[in-house]
Amino acid sequence: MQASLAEAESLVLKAAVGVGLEPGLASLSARATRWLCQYGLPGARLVVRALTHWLERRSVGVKWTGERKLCAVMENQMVSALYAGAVVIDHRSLVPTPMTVASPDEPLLLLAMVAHAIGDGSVKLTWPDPSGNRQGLQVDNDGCTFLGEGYRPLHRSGVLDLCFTCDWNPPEVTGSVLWNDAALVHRQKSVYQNGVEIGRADLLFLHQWGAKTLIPDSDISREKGAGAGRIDTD
Amino acid sequence: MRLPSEVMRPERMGAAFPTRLSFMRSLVRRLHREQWQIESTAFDLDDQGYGHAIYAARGPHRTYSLMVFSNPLRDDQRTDRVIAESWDACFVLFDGLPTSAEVKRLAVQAPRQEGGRFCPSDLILSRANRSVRLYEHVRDALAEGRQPDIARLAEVGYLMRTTAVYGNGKFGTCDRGRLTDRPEFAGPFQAEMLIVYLIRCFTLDHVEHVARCQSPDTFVPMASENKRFLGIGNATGLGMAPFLITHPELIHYWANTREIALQKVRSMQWAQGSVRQRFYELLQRVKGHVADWCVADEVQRRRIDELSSDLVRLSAWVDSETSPLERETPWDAVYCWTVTEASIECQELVVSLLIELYPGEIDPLEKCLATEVRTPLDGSMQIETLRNVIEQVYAWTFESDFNDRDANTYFWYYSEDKMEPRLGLRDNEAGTEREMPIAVARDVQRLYQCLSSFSAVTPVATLLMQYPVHRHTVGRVQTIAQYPYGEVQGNLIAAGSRPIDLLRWKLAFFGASKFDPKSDLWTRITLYQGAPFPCDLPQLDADDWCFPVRPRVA
Repeated sequence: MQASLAEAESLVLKAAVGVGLEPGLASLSARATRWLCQYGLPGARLVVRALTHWLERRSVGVKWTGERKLCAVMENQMVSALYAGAVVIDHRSLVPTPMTVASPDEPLLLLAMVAHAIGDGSVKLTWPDPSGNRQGLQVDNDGCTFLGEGYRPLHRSGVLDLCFTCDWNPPEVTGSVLWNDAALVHRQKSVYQNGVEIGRADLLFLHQWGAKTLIPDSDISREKGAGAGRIDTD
Repeated sequence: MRLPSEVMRPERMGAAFPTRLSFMRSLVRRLHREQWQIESTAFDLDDQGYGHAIYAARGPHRTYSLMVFSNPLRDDQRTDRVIAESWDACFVLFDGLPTSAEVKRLAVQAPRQEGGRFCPSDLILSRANRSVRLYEHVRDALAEGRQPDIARLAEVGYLMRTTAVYGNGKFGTCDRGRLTDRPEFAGPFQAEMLIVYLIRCFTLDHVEHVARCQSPDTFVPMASENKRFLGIGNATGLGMAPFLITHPELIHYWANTREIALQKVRSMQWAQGSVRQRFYELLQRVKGHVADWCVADEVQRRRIDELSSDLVRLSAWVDSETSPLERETPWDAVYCWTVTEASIECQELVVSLLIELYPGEIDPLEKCLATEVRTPLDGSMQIETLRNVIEQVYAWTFESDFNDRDANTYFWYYSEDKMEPRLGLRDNEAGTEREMPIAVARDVQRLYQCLSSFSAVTPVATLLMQYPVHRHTVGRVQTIAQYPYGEVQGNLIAAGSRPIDLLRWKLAFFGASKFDPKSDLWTRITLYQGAPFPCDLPQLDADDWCFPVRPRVA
C-alpha cells in the first residue's frame, strides 16, 4: 500500500499501543518510523520486526553494565530498540560518551529513534569499523547495507557521540554513503510526491495489532457521538 | 494577561467565540489581499443536481481545484454521523487542475470517503448532506420566482452541512509537511478552510441550478445579501477532542496568541473616536447576531438569553454618563466590567469584539498560530524539579480525587465502528484496559505519587528506565512547563465533563459560529456565515463579516 507519512506514523502508534507498549514508547517508535519513512527507509518493516522480537521475547529491555554500556536485561538476548532508544535519549546528557548499546535488535530503528527525538538538539552516530580505518555507521537491513561516514551528523549540530556495538559479525559493506543532505532531501521530496510503500505483510501485522486498541460498539456507545445514531434530515 | 489557569478551564473554553485571528478570517483576508480568482471550470450536473463540478481557485503561485461529486441519497441515509456511508455530495481539494483521468479516479474514490484511497495530489477530503428543511424551501422559492423566507435562513443558516473534513495524510491524502512551505497553507488548517469555503460556493450554485431547472421561466437567483447570509454547516463530535490533548505545543500557540492579542487591546491607553465608533457598531451588530442564534438545547438557550441580557446592560453602561470609553485604558475597563457583571459567554464575546477593533495591531499575530515544534524529553531533570513543576503547573489536577467514582466515571476509547473516539462508562462498559491516554489529571497524579519513591536528585531518566509507563506523562509535564497554555485544565473523565466545551473552543479558532449543541458530546455549527463570495472579494470590506445579522427584508 502507498501510504502517507501520517498514516505510517498512525498505524505504528496504534499497533505499538495495541500490543501493549507503553504510550510514551509507542509514540517514540511511531515518530521514528515516520522519520525513517520520510527518507525512503523501511520504517514500518523495522518496527514490525522490533515489535515481533519483543512480543516473542527475542528482544528485551536494557540495563546498564558499567557507566556507559547498555545491554539486555537477560543474557543471550538482543536489546529491544523500542526500549533502548528511549533510554539512550533520556541519558544523553547523563552518561559519558560514547554510549554503547550492545546487540540492538534493529540498529537502524534505534538510530532513527535517537536522531528524531533529539532533532532539536544534536546527534552524531558512530559505528566502529572493524578495520579501524574509519568510523561511521553501518547497519545491515535485509541485505542492504547503509553506511554513514564517521561523525557525519544526522542533524545539523552535534554533541552526543553514540556508539552501537555489535556482538555478531558485522556484515560486509555493500552500500554507499546514504547519510548526506542532498540524498536525504531528494528522498524526502520523492516520498511527499509518491507516498510510502508499506508491504502487505507488514500492513497486516500493523492492522491486526492496531485493532487491539479498538472496542466493539455497545448500545450505550451507539447513542453517543455526532448524530447520535439517528436519521437526521436537519 | 489572562493566565492558563483561567482561560484553559473547560467551562471558559466552552464559551469561546471566533475572533479576527480565526483561521477562516485569515484565509478570507488572504484571498482578498492576493486577489484570488475562483471560478467554476466544470458544472456537469443534471436537473436534479447530480453529477460533478470543478471549481478552480487561482492564487498568485498555485491553483487548487475543488472537485465535487453529487449523487442521489435517500432521506433515510442522511445522517450527521461520521459513520454514515453515503452523502449528498463528496468533495476533494486537488493540488492543481485535474486531468480527465484524475476526475475519473476521484469519481470512484471520493464517494467512498474513508473507504477510498487517495494520492498526495489530493489535499483534503470532505462530504456534505443537504439541510432538507432549508434546501427544499430555498429551491422551491427561487423556482417560484421569490426570495426564501429570511426567518428560515436565520433558523438554519446553511444549505448543506459537512460531516467530516479530512487532511494531513488521512486515507493517503497529502501530508501536511509537503504544504508547509506554501505561504497560503502555512497557517493552521488553511487547506481545510479553503475547501470549506469552496464547498459553500458550490452549495449556492447547486441550489440555484436545481431551482432554475425546476422552473426556468419563473426562476430568480438569490439576492446577494441572502446568499452571503448563508454559510456552510458542520456537525462535529468527539473525534475532534483528542486533538487538543495530543498537540499541546500547537494549542499553546493558539491560546497564547489570542491572549496576547487581548492584552494588546486592553493595554491601549485611550480609544480614538473612530475605534469607539467601531465598537458601538460591533456591539449593535452582535446583539442582532445573538438574537438570530437559534438552538434547541436548553442549557445553551439559557446561556444565549443571559448573553443577550448582558449585552443590553453592557450597551447601557458604555452609553451612560459613566462610560469608560472616554477614560484611560477603556478596553481594559470594558473587559473587567464583563468579569464582574456578566456571564462567561459575554466575557468571551467581548474578547472577540475587542480583538476586532485593532486590525493593524492584531493581524500580524496570525503568523504566531502555527508551529511544528515537539518538545524533547529531558531525562536529566531531577525528580525534585519535576515534582515542583507538577505542583506549580498541574495544581489543578489535585482538585480531583480519583478514589471518588465521579472523578473517574468515563474512559475514552476508539470504537471498532470506523475508529471513532467515544466515551465509555467505566463501570458499565468493557474495554477500560484499552482506554486512550486522555486522562491527564489522573496520570499526573499517578506520576506524582510515584516520585515519592525516588530521591530528590535522581534524574528522571532513572525513573523512566524503571517505570516506562510514566514516560508519556513526564514528557507532557515537561512540555506544559514550557507551553503552559497547551493543557486543558479539567478532568476529562469526570462525571461532569463536557467534551463539547473542547469542541467549541477549537471550532471557534476555526471561525465557527452559531454553536448548536445536540448533547454534551456533539454540536452543529455554521461556517463562513456572512463571508464574502468570490465576486465580493475585491471589495474593501471583504474582512468585515464577523457576527453576521440576518438581512433586512426589502
